[in-house]
Amino acid sequence: MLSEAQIERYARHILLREVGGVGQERLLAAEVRIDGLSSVGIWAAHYLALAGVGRLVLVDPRPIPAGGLPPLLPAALAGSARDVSAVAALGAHNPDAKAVVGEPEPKRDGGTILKPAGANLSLVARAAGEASFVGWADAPPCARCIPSGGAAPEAAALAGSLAASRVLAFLLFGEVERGIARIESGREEALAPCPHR
Amino acid sequence: MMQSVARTVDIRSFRCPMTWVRVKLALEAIAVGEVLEVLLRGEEPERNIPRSAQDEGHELLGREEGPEGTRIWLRKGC
Amino acid sequence: METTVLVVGAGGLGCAALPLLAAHGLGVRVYDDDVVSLDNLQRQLLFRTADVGRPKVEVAAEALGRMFPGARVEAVADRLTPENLPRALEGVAVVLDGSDNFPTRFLINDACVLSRTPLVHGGILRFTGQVMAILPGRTACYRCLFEDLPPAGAVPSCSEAGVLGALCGIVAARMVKQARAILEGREVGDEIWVHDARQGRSRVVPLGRDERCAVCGEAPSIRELDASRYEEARAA
Repeated sequence: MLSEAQIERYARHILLREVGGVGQERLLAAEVRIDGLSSVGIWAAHYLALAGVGRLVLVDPRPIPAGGLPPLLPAALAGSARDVSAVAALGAHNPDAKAVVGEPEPKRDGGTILKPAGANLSLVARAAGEASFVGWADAPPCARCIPSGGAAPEAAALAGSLAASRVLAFLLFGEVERGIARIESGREEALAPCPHR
Repeated sequence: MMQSVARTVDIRSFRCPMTWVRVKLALEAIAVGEVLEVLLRGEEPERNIPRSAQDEGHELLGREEGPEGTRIWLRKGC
Repeated sequence: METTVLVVGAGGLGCAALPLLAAHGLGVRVYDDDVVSLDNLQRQLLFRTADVGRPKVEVAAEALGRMFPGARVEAVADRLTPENLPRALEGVAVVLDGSDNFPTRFLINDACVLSRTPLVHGGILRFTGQVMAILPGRTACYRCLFEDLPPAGAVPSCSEAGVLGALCGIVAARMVKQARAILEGREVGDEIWVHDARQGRSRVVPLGRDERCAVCGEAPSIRELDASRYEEARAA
């Protein structure tokens, strides 16, 4: 059952023919783990929280860099743990999205990985230079397939926002299409499966 | 009114798009084939609610003007 | 010489575009006469629950100030009109239009064409987003493609207000990318970019300036901003 405040907050989702109150309740009951709070991960976490995903498990104990992680974490929080700070900041935007800090998993390649509970694939999201990379995979491609670092702010925003929209599409419609795409000039190009492992 | 009403929703105090949001949620709460009665007031909802309902596969069964507003009946289609 | 970008609207698209522009050190001038409401929070990422009721541009400016200390932000709690547009466009290198209504879109388009100011238009509707970079007199403008406001009485249905929130980030990122290309003198392409968030697919549709366009064509009938041309569609 949606509260009065939730009916108003999520009105623009409820209005979507394919979503409705039923779809919104599904989001509120969902759980997504977000491993890697680079700028990409922060954009993804932010939109998933605004959408009302009920539980977000955030994992990234690294300190926030000097310039902060806009648009969620200001420069004043530099040095604090990314996951702890993101948990607090997201609550102010949406109390329905209960964010908690999760346990890091064993060492893996960098980048952001989103895992909705119930999905058998993970959503990989990364940005480097002007390029964004997003898609469902068993495991993230290695650093030779997808470079990391030095992402333009809008490339990171695109990767994170696409990641959020893919996760929402999975949670609402169960849709998962395997394969990572590279987006740089406005069109998606399929990335070949990682040959380096 | 021919068929019995499963639920009534009063949207007179809301404005678009919250009017349709409320009707949509009320439709979710009844079964396919059941009838929802909507009490509304104003030119905009009088035009938009039946249209939005029909767009989403529901049937407008009738409408009745009254002193407190307009009543419309929708049969849930899907 | 510092660069200023005019951002029309501090809603879903504006909230996502503003921090990206500031991240590039660009000065922003943002117009919006609305206050934050609860149903905005599903997608307008600069606003927090406690901000409901406050003017959007004020909250946006505060958020930008926290994220980018020293950022140049001019927040104007007003809507753009034929009267204030000339002033709003002063010193502006590119306009980002994230407005959510047709009268404003046509007004901004015409003002940009008449002043030869580059414009990036962005729109979101349900699961679809679109972005169009407009170089007046060179690429297609909004009127080349959409011609004119919907006829009076053609009021959109309520369900058209539905939108997937994350789409705002996707579209705004593309808008800022195009804005940067314009500012850096790089090729933008005469086209409209469309993204379907259900399919997870983008496509680019080539356009072309319409020689008979009422505002940017060879013999334009629109030569100044006449307020009556942008009246909100009146209910029948």
